[in-house]
Amino acid sequence: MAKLSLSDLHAIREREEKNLKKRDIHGRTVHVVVAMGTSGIDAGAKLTLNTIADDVEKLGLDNVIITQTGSAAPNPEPVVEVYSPEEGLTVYGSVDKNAAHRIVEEHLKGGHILEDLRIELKDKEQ
Amino acid sequence: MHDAAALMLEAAVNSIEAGAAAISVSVSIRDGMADIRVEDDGTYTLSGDPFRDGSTTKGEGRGRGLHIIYERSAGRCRLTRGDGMTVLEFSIEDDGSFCRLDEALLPLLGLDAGITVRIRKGEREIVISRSLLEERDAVPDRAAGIRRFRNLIRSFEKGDIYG
Repeated sequence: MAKLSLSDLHAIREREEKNLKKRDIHGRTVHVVVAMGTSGIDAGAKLTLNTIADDVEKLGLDNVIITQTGSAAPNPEPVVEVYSPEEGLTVYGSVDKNAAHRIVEEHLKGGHILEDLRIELKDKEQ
Repeated sequence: MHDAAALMLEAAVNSIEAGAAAISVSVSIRDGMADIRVEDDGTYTLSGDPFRDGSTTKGEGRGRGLHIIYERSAGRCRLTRGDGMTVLEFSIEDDGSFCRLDEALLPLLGLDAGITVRIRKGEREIVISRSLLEERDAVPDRAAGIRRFRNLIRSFEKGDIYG
């Protein structure tokens, strides 16, 4: 096995400190759910989901789990739900690509709810 | 907003809503067309024309999936059922939505544990299932899994790995 240099050790420490800091900031898992029913897909939920996945990957938000659910009609789709230990459930409506970027950057990374995108979830019709 | 990859997704969502445990999706891209076939073991009540608009019993904005597929495929679609399996087939113009295969497949393979996808582009065929992603720790639901998922799909596309 090759010997580690001092600069290698510094790099490892820096990386691990960054990881630890990330865990300290977020604490516990945040769950993101994208509604992917017919109306959601029609409104662009595929792009919304891919944008969130891209950004979560790029930012290395290891505490975020992304899943999908069925239709969120009659709510304004694409609908994205965020469950976090601190704020509980937040529901966002009309989440286009730009809004998806903001949710990841401001809510998932920054911990701030985006009030302008927030909606009250109406019951799904049976 | 329903591009060809979204229609494939739509068909798989229909299968899941029908309670399917096993869903097999095949896509063949050739001569400017995408031929898509979705086979599942879900429970359907087929009566009348399943592609007709307005026949939904699921509520506003729901249950229009088959009609959207009918519209987008200009009627080049059919739904058959036999031996407990339902097969939906349709052909639509290749709009390039399968060029970024990772973006086309991420929503699909994130949907359900029972999905297997077979994609044929030119001479190359790729087969990916959720169980394969689980084996490789590449289920795209977390940052690390998304990264591994994208790398895996790119490796398949380049022919580094054969499915």
